[in-house]
Amino acid sequence: MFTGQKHLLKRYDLTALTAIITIILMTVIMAGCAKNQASKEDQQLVVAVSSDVGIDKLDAGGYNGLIQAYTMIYDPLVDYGERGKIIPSLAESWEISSDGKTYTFHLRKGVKFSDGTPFDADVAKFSIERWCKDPANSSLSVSKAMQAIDVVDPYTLKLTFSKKYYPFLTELTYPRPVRIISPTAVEPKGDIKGKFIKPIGTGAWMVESYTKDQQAVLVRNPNYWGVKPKLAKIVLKVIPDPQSRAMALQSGEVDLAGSEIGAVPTQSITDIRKEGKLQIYTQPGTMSYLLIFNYNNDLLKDLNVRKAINMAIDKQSMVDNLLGGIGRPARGLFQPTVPYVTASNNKGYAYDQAAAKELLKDSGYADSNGDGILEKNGKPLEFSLVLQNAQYPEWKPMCEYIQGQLKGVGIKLDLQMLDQNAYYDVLWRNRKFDLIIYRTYTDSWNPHGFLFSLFHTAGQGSGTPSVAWSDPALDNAIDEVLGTMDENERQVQYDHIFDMMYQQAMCAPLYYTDEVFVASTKVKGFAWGFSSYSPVKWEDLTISQ
Amino acid sequence: MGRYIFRRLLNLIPVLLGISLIDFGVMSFVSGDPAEIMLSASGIQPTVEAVTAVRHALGLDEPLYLQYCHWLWNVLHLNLGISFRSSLPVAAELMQRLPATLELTLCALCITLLIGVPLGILAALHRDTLIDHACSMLSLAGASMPAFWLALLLIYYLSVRLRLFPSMGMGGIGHLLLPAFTLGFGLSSAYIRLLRASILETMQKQFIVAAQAKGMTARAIMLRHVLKNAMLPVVTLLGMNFGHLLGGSAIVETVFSWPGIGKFMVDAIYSKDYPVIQGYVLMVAVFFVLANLLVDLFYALLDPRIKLR
Repeated sequence: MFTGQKHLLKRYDLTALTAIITIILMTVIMAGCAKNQASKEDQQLVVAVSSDVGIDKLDAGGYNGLIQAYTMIYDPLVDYGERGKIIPSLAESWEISSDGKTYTFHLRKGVKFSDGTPFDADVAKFSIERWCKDPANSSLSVSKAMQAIDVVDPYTLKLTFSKKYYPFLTELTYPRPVRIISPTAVEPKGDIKGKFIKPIGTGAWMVESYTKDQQAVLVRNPNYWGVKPKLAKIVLKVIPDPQSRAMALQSGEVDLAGSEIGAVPTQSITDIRKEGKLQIYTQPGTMSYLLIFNYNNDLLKDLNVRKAINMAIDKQSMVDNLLGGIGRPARGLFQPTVPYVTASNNKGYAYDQAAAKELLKDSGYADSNGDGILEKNGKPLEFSLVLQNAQYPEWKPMCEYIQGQLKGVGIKLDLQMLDQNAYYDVLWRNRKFDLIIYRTYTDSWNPHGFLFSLFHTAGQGSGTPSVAWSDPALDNAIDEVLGTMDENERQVQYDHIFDMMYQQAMCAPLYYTDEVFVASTKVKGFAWGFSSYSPVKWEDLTISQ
Repeated sequence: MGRYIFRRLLNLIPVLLGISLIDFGVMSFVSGDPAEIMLSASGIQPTVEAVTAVRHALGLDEPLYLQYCHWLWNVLHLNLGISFRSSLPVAAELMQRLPATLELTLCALCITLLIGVPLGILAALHRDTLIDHACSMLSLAGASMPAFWLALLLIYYLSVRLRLFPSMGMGGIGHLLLPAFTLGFGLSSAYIRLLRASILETMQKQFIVAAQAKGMTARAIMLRHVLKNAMLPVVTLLGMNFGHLLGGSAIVETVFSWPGIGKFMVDAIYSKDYPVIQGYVLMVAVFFVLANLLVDLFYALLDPRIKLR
């Protein structure tokens, strides 16, 4: 019916073909351009980070931007050393008064900020006053309890607090908001209410350039007081997707990725290990995963039930089969990398389903209707388990595994997967859970910060019920240790707290995380930092051609 | 014509008002307190004191209708507010990311057309032959392939294995091609099918027979009569896709670390950053209305039977 069709056809075949060929041609030409661009980046280390570095709002006294960038640019008065040992930084030494309320810091002399501004006690005071007493920082005792900041002489600073509290120094090591910023970083200059303009610190690195959502380039700070970094430049490249970070490593566009700064997925690490073309560095982290029990649940008030849940889970098999052999099965709540955790006080319940069944039997549970689930007074032993998988994707398979394991001893779990916000609502506010999977804080927040915030009845502020446990005896023990200034005494008190937690099976610790970094073979001199806020000793790194 | 455009733009006002109201209502039902999310996301323990202070600072302690009124008042003064998360003006935050998304959108649409139009024509001309079936298969594959999968596949083979393209980030045109192709390939499938159907339909029309009887060459008939008419539905789809793509594609942007608006938006939704969400919704609504307006104007250009009044 359309007579010219054949004729038409030939012409348009040609047009279409030409178009397709053009696309392919263009593609190849452009690929060539892309390759040429890569070669000049050899003199620097490229690190993949998961979120925008936020240099334009990286105020030392604020909370915006990439947390690990703070520790590169800003120094604290005192720093967090191996397993929480307090080490000198901008303060060379310090004394604590006998009542534990006054801290005198002797500041390092001759220190200059990256823009040349000299550092002294007045500058330190300015910096501290910027965040101190802000209600948003009420969770920091160092802010809430600060009574006076006195400049004794140009290199002596005295801080006076309203109470005795051993973690003051630990809080001063935090990546933010306590680190020291130059008075020239705000406008008007030196005004504590001044507006932040640019990040100027005394740290080993300073900002060379920044492109929002893309990258930040840090270069050596020529005025740095410590050991100068070997690398001239570190490029922090934003790659939000974990899978893409792994592939950027594999394609050679990125030299280093991992840890909290830009985690690489477990599955990719397994593949990378098999391929053997990249270096993998692993060390125990400071975070644990745990199941929190709702202390208001009548069935969970029974110690035997809590113990049985602890015993019913084969944590070793969970690590081997679900988590690719990365990390370790948990014993006590905290990893041995956490301060005050020792081989003798880190106790947990070993996997023993028979013993778990025995405990439940002792508490009067029996399977009266033959459905595989235990009952007492006609009430089944059944709990909800709340989880989310946006932040910790491995929680889903872990919880499903736990569901199967608990079924083995006659406990039924109903998994409730929530979106991230709904999950946190349940955890912090409405407490609509029987069991909920959560993780401990990390680094300098352990053990005191996590214990107080979740296991102390005042942890969430007055009037808000505590999250994980509610017991005056534990409250007292935590209060006591927080006010003890003697290291050895504190150890004894922590031993006691960890023992109470074990005896009462206050939670079910599941898993100890690992920190993993993947690096190209060009990267040399890799050494772990002392916390995930400064995960790598950046100054030791070099890169070979 | 001018009056027509003016009237269409006037229609924007009730549309935007309605959308922002619905959006504000929906957000208030979603769980999570922005102040608390903000604190936790920054690594601050959300104590009651801290949350109260932040809620006050953000104006979240006011009743919801007042919050909306304040927001509206500011918008009337061309102020979209301040982002909860970054404390930067929303307009600046959006504008900073829009160019990247615009670049990706334009390139993706070009690729869509470069794939969709020739293959659509090819399929129509070779109706029910192997070529037609191959085009069908291709468009089926394009439509059903998840974008993240295609993206990872492209990165793996073209960046990791062959090292032809950079796998991530924004930079030269090499950076642009993979994400644009991922978006464009998925979209092109609809164009192949649509154009094929549309061409076949047009070819049945009497005026084509008339043109042939007139002795016009096949090429002239195709270009002047068939394609011009067959393009009408394609233009409509293009308008819709343009508006849609300008809203950003969270998945493709995330996988390719493209600093566009899609990823930014998803983060804003997760952290309940109301001002950003509201500003974004307004922006996308404006895009859609403008894209539709452009399509209508273009229609009039393509088809003289359509009069705009």
